[in-house]
Amino acid sequence: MSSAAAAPDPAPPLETRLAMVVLRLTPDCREVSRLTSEELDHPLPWGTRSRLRLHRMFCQYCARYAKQLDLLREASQQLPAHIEASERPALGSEAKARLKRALHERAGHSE
Amino acid sequence: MNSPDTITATPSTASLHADPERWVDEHGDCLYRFALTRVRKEEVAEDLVQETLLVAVRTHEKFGGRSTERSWLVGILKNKICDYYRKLGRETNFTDLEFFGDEQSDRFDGENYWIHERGPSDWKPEGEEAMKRAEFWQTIQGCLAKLPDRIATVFSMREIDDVPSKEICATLNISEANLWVMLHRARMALRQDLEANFFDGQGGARL
Repeated sequence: MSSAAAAPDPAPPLETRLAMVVLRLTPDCREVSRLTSEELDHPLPWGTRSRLRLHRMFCQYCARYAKQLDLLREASQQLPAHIEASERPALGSEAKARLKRALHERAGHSE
Repeated sequence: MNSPDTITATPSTASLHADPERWVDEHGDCLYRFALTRVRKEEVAEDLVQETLLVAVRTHEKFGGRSTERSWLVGILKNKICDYYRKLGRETNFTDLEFFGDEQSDRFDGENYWIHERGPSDWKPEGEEAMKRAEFWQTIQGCLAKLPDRIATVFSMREIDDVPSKEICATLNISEANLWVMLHRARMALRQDLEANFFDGQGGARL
Protein backbone atom coordinates (compact mmCIF):
# COMPACT_ATOMS: atom_id res chain seq x y z
CA MET A 1 0.00 0.00 0.00
CA SER A 2 1.69 3.16 -1.09
CA SER A 3 2.18 5.85 1.45
CA ALA A 4 -0.57 8.43 1.76
CA ALA A 5 2.18 10.97 2.32
CA ALA A 6 3.11 11.15 -1.38
CA ALA A 7 4.12 14.50 -2.87
CA PRO A 8 1.03 16.63 -3.59
CA ASP A 9 -0.43 15.97 -7.06
CA PRO A 10 -2.81 18.17 -8.97
CA ALA A 11 -5.19 15.20 -9.12
CA PRO A 12 -4.83 12.79 -6.21
CA PRO A 13 -4.27 9.22 -7.39
CA LEU A 14 -7.11 6.75 -6.98
CA GLU A 15 -5.56 5.06 -3.96
CA THR A 16 -5.21 8.33 -2.10
CA ARG A 17 -8.83 9.21 -2.82
CA LEU A 18 -9.83 5.73 -1.71
CA ALA A 19 -7.86 6.18 1.47
CA MET A 20 -9.56 9.48 2.13
CA VAL A 21 -13.00 7.96 1.67
CA VAL A 22 -12.25 5.02 3.90
CA LEU A 23 -10.70 7.20 6.57
CA ARG A 24 -13.87 9.24 6.78
CA LEU A 25 -15.71 6.07 7.71
CA THR A 26 -13.47 5.61 10.72
CA PRO A 27 -12.79 7.76 13.76
CA ASP A 28 -10.31 10.60 13.24
CA CYS A 29 -6.65 10.22 14.20
CA ARG A 30 -7.01 12.02 17.50
CA GLU A 31 -9.84 9.73 18.50
CA VAL A 32 -7.92 6.71 17.21
CA SER A 33 -4.94 7.59 19.38
CA ARG A 34 -7.23 7.82 22.40
CA LEU A 35 -8.86 4.47 21.59
CA THR A 36 -5.49 2.87 20.87
CA SER A 37 -4.45 3.72 24.38
CA GLU A 38 -7.71 2.44 25.84
CA GLU A 39 -7.36 -0.80 23.92
CA LEU A 40 -4.34 -1.57 26.07
CA ASP A 41 -6.41 -1.55 29.20
CA HIS A 42 -9.76 -3.10 28.39
CA PRO A 43 -11.40 -4.79 25.43
CA LEU A 44 -13.21 -2.47 23.05
CA PRO A 45 -16.44 -3.39 21.30
CA TRP A 46 -15.95 -5.43 18.16
CA GLY A 47 -17.27 -2.67 15.90
CA THR A 48 -14.83 -0.17 17.35
CA ARG A 49 -11.94 -2.56 16.96
CA SER A 50 -12.83 -3.15 13.31
CA ARG A 51 -12.95 0.55 12.60
CA LEU A 52 -9.58 1.02 14.31
CA ARG A 53 -8.04 -1.73 12.19
CA LEU A 54 -9.51 -0.23 9.05
CA HIS A 55 -8.20 3.21 9.95
CA ARG A 56 -4.71 1.86 10.56
CA MET A 57 -4.71 0.09 7.20
CA PHE A 58 -4.95 3.47 5.54
CA CYS A 59 -3.19 5.71 8.02
CA GLN A 60 0.48 4.92 8.55
CA TYR A 61 0.74 7.37 11.43
CA CYS A 62 -1.91 5.67 13.49
CA ALA A 63 -0.43 2.30 12.56
CA ARG A 64 2.92 3.49 13.89
CA TYR A 65 1.31 4.96 16.97
CA ALA A 66 -0.19 1.58 17.89
CA LYS A 67 3.12 -0.22 17.42
CA GLN A 68 4.90 2.41 19.44
CA LEU A 69 2.51 2.15 22.36
CA ASP A 70 3.12 -1.61 22.30
CA LEU A 71 6.84 -0.98 22.53
CA LEU A 72 6.31 1.45 25.36
CA ARG A 73 4.35 -1.21 27.24
CA GLU A 74 7.00 -3.84 26.69
CA ALA A 75 9.75 -1.46 27.77
CA SER A 76 7.84 -0.46 30.89
CA GLN A 77 7.57 -4.07 31.94
CA GLN A 78 11.30 -4.58 31.52
CA LEU A 79 12.19 -1.31 33.20
CA PRO A 80 12.51 -2.59 36.78
CA ALA A 81 15.02 -5.21 35.64
CA HIS A 82 17.10 -2.57 33.92
CA ILE A 83 16.98 -0.23 36.88
CA GLU A 84 18.07 -3.05 39.16
CA ALA A 85 20.90 -4.02 36.84
CA SER A 86 22.12 -0.44 36.68
CA GLU A 87 22.35 -0.43 40.48
CA ARG A 88 21.42 3.21 40.46
CA PRO A 89 20.22 5.09 42.35
CA ALA A 90 21.74 3.76 45.54
CA LEU A 91 20.96 4.78 49.08
CA GLY A 92 24.37 6.19 49.86
CA SER A 93 26.27 5.61 53.07
CA GLU A 94 24.74 8.58 54.88
CA ALA A 95 21.20 7.44 54.14
CA LYS A 96 22.07 3.92 55.22
CA ALA A 97 23.52 5.16 58.49
CA ARG A 98 20.40 7.23 59.04
CA LEU A 99 18.25 4.23 58.33
CA LYS A 100 20.17 2.02 60.73
CA ARG A 101 19.95 4.63 63.48
CA ALA A 102 16.22 5.04 62.99
CA LEU A 103 15.65 1.30 62.99
CA HIS A 104 17.71 0.90 66.13
CA GLU A 105 15.70 3.58 67.89
CA ARG A 106 12.32 2.39 66.74
CA ALA A 107 12.82 -1.35 66.87
CA GLY A 108 14.67 -1.13 70.15
CA HIS A 109 15.77 -4.40 71.60
CA SER A 110 12.42 -6.11 71.22
CA GLU A 111 14.07 -9.09 69.54
CA MET B 1 8.04 -23.54 60.85
CA ASN B 2 11.70 -22.72 61.22
CA SER B 3 12.95 -26.27 61.05
CA PRO B 4 16.72 -26.81 61.07
CA ASP B 5 16.59 -27.79 57.40
CA THR B 6 14.94 -24.54 56.44
CA ILE B 7 17.46 -22.52 58.39
CA THR B 8 20.55 -24.02 56.88
CA ALA B 9 19.09 -24.42 53.38
CA THR B 10 19.90 -20.86 52.34
CA PRO B 11 22.46 -18.65 54.05
CA SER B 12 20.07 -15.76 54.21
CA THR B 13 17.74 -17.66 56.51
CA ALA B 14 20.55 -18.82 58.75
CA SER B 15 19.80 -16.21 61.36
CA LEU B 16 16.73 -16.61 63.50
CA HIS B 17 17.13 -13.11 64.75
CA ALA B 18 16.01 -9.99 63.00
CA ASP B 19 19.07 -8.25 61.66
CA PRO B 20 18.00 -4.88 60.37
CA GLU B 21 21.56 -3.62 59.96
CA ARG B 22 22.45 -6.46 57.67
CA TRP B 23 19.19 -6.01 55.80
CA VAL B 24 20.06 -2.36 55.16
CA ASP B 25 23.47 -3.36 53.81
CA GLU B 26 22.31 -6.27 51.71
CA HIS B 27 18.90 -5.11 50.54
CA GLY B 28 18.70 -1.39 51.25
CA ASP B 29 19.68 -0.19 47.78
CA CYS B 30 17.39 -2.62 46.02
CA LEU B 31 14.42 -1.75 48.24
CA TYR B 32 15.13 1.95 47.83
CA ARG B 33 15.25 1.67 44.05
CA PHE B 34 12.06 -0.34 44.00
CA ALA B 35 10.29 2.29 46.07
CA LEU B 36 11.77 5.31 44.30
CA THR B 37 10.75 4.03 40.88
CA ARG B 38 7.19 4.01 42.10
CA VAL B 39 6.87 6.91 44.52
CA ARG B 40 9.40 9.21 42.86
CA LYS B 41 10.28 11.17 45.98
CA GLU B 42 13.52 10.31 47.77
CA GLU B 43 12.31 11.04 51.29
CA VAL B 44 9.16 9.02 50.74
CA ALA B 45 11.16 6.13 49.32
CA GLU B 46 13.48 6.17 52.33
CA ASP B 47 10.56 6.28 54.73
CA LEU B 48 8.94 3.33 53.02
CA VAL B 49 12.16 1.33 53.27
CA GLN B 50 12.32 2.16 56.96
CA GLU B 51 8.72 1.12 57.54
CA THR B 52 9.33 -2.07 55.59
CA LEU B 53 12.30 -3.07 57.69
CA LEU B 54 10.38 -2.32 60.89
CA VAL B 55 7.62 -4.67 59.82
CA ALA B 56 10.28 -7.19 58.91
CA VAL B 57 11.77 -6.95 62.39
CA ARG B 58 8.36 -7.53 63.94
CA THR B 59 7.35 -10.39 61.69
CA HIS B 60 10.62 -12.12 60.84
CA GLU B 61 9.64 -15.19 62.75
CA LYS B 62 6.83 -15.76 60.29
CA PHE B 63 9.32 -15.74 57.44
CA GLY B 64 9.87 -19.43 57.19
CA GLY B 65 12.30 -19.41 54.30
CA ARG B 66 9.52 -19.97 51.81
CA SER B 67 11.04 -17.42 49.51
CA THR B 68 14.28 -15.53 49.48
CA GLU B 69 14.85 -12.92 52.12
CA ARG B 70 14.85 -10.23 49.48
CA SER B 71 11.58 -11.21 47.87
CA TRP B 72 10.02 -11.37 51.34
CA LEU B 73 11.18 -7.83 52.06
CA VAL B 74 10.01 -6.63 48.65
CA GLY B 75 6.62 -8.16 49.39
CA ILE B 76 6.34 -6.09 52.55
CA LEU B 77 7.49 -3.01 50.63
CA LYS B 78 4.83 -3.56 47.98
CA ASN B 79 2.17 -3.42 50.69
CA LYS B 80 3.68 -0.24 52.07
CA ILE B 81 3.70 1.32 48.63
CA CYS B 82 0.09 0.32 48.19
CA ASP B 83 -0.78 2.00 51.50
CA TYR B 84 1.01 5.08 50.28
CA TYR B 85 -0.97 5.10 47.05
CA ARG B 86 -4.22 4.76 48.98
CA LYS B 87 -3.21 7.68 51.15
CA LEU B 88 -2.49 9.72 48.02
CA GLY B 89 -5.89 8.80 46.68
CA ARG B 90 -7.54 10.10 49.82
CA GLU B 91 -5.49 13.25 50.18
CA THR B 92 -4.91 14.30 46.60
CA ASN B 93 -7.35 15.20 43.94
CA PHE B 94 -6.29 12.74 41.30
CA THR B 95 -8.78 14.02 38.88
CA ASP B 96 -7.37 17.49 38.85
CA LEU B 97 -7.06 18.04 35.15
CA GLU B 98 -4.25 20.55 35.00
CA PHE B 99 -2.12 18.19 32.97
CA PHE B 100 -4.93 17.61 30.56
CA GLY B 101 -4.23 20.61 28.45
CA ASP B 102 -4.05 19.68 24.83
CA GLU B 103 -0.33 19.66 24.31
CA GLN B 104 -0.73 17.62 21.15
CA SER B 105 -3.05 20.11 19.51
CA ASP B 106 -0.37 21.29 17.10
CA ARG B 107 0.15 17.80 15.71
CA PHE B 108 -3.37 17.29 14.42
CA ASP B 109 -4.95 19.34 11.69
CA GLY B 110 -8.29 21.06 11.88
CA GLU B 111 -10.08 17.81 11.18
CA ASN B 112 -8.09 15.90 13.80
CA TYR B 113 -5.89 13.96 11.41
CA TRP B 114 -2.15 13.72 11.95
CA ILE B 115 -0.34 16.49 10.10
CA HIS B 116 2.11 14.84 7.72
CA GLU B 117 5.41 16.01 9.13
CA ARG B 118 4.22 15.87 12.70
CA GLY B 119 2.83 12.39 12.85
CA PRO B 120 4.66 9.52 14.55
CA SER B 121 7.94 8.88 12.77
CA ASP B 122 9.21 5.51 11.65
CA TRP B 123 11.21 4.33 14.63
CA LYS B 124 14.58 2.82 13.87
CA PRO B 125 16.14 0.69 15.19
CA GLU B 126 13.14 -1.59 15.70
CA GLY B 127 11.90 -2.40 19.19
CA GLU B 128 14.09 -5.39 20.06
CA GLU B 129 17.22 -3.65 18.82
CA ALA B 130 16.35 -0.39 20.54
CA MET B 131 15.88 -2.16 23.85
CA LYS B 132 19.45 -3.41 23.70
CA ARG B 133 20.79 0.13 23.93
CA ALA B 134 21.65 1.70 27.25
CA GLU B 135 20.69 5.06 25.76
CA PHE B 136 17.17 3.84 25.21
CA TRP B 137 16.72 3.02 28.90
CA GLN B 138 18.33 6.25 30.02
CA THR B 139 16.02 8.20 27.76
CA ILE B 140 12.91 6.42 28.87
CA GLN B 141 13.72 6.97 32.52
CA GLY B 142 14.28 10.61 31.77
CA CYS B 143 10.91 10.78 30.05
CA LEU B 144 9.17 9.13 33.00
CA ALA B 145 10.78 11.55 35.42
CA LYS B 146 9.18 14.42 33.52
CA LEU B 147 5.65 13.19 33.94
CA PRO B 148 3.62 14.98 36.61
CA ASP B 149 3.40 12.96 39.84
CA ARG B 150 -0.17 11.76 39.60
CA ILE B 151 0.11 10.78 35.96
CA ALA B 152 3.35 8.97 36.73
CA THR B 153 1.75 7.12 39.63
CA VAL B 154 -1.09 5.89 37.45
CA PHE B 155 1.27 4.96 34.64
CA SER B 156 3.68 3.05 36.84
CA MET B 157 0.91 1.16 38.61
CA ARG B 158 -0.55 0.12 35.28
CA GLU B 159 2.51 -0.41 33.13
CA ILE B 160 5.33 -1.29 35.50
CA ASP B 161 3.37 -3.28 38.05
CA ASP B 162 0.52 -4.40 35.80
CA VAL B 163 -2.11 -3.56 38.41
CA PRO B 164 -5.58 -4.24 36.98
CA SER B 165 -7.52 -1.09 36.10
CA LYS B 166 -10.27 -1.64 38.64
CA GLU B 167 -7.74 -2.03 41.42
CA ILE B 168 -5.97 1.19 40.45
CA CYS B 169 -9.29 3.00 40.52
CA ALA B 170 -10.18 1.60 43.93
CA THR B 171 -6.77 2.43 45.39
CA LEU B 172 -6.57 5.96 44.04
CA ASN B 173 -10.24 6.72 44.31
CA ILE B 174 -10.70 7.60 40.65
CA SER B 175 -13.15 6.51 38.01
CA GLU B 176 -12.23 4.31 35.08
CA ALA B 177 -12.91 7.21 32.75
CA ASN B 178 -10.36 9.29 34.68
CA LEU B 179 -7.90 6.43 34.46
CA TRP B 180 -8.20 6.07 30.69
CA VAL B 181 -7.65 9.78 30.19
CA MET B 182 -4.60 9.87 32.45
CA LEU B 183 -3.04 6.83 30.81
CA HIS B 184 -3.73 8.24 27.37
CA ARG B 185 -2.00 11.48 28.26
CA ALA B 186 0.92 9.64 29.83
CA ARG B 187 1.40 7.41 26.80
CA MET B 188 1.06 10.25 24.36
CA ALA B 189 3.63 12.33 26.22
CA LEU B 190 6.05 9.46 26.68
CA ARG B 191 5.79 8.37 23.08
CA GLN B 192 6.50 11.86 21.84
CA ASP B 193 9.33 12.38 24.29
CA LEU B 194 10.97 9.06 23.45
CA GLU B 195 10.67 9.85 19.77
CA ALA B 196 12.22 13.28 20.10
CA ASN B 197 15.00 12.23 22.46
CA PHE B 198 15.95 8.83 21.19
CA PHE B 199 14.51 7.63 17.88
CA ASP B 200 14.67 10.84 15.91
CA GLY B 201 18.39 10.95 16.53
CA GLN B 202 18.88 7.42 15.27
CA GLY B 203 18.28 8.08 11.60
CA GLY B 204 14.77 6.77 11.04
CA ALA B 205 12.36 8.27 8.54
CA ARG B 206 10.30 11.31 9.47
CA LEU B 207 7.70 10.60 6.83
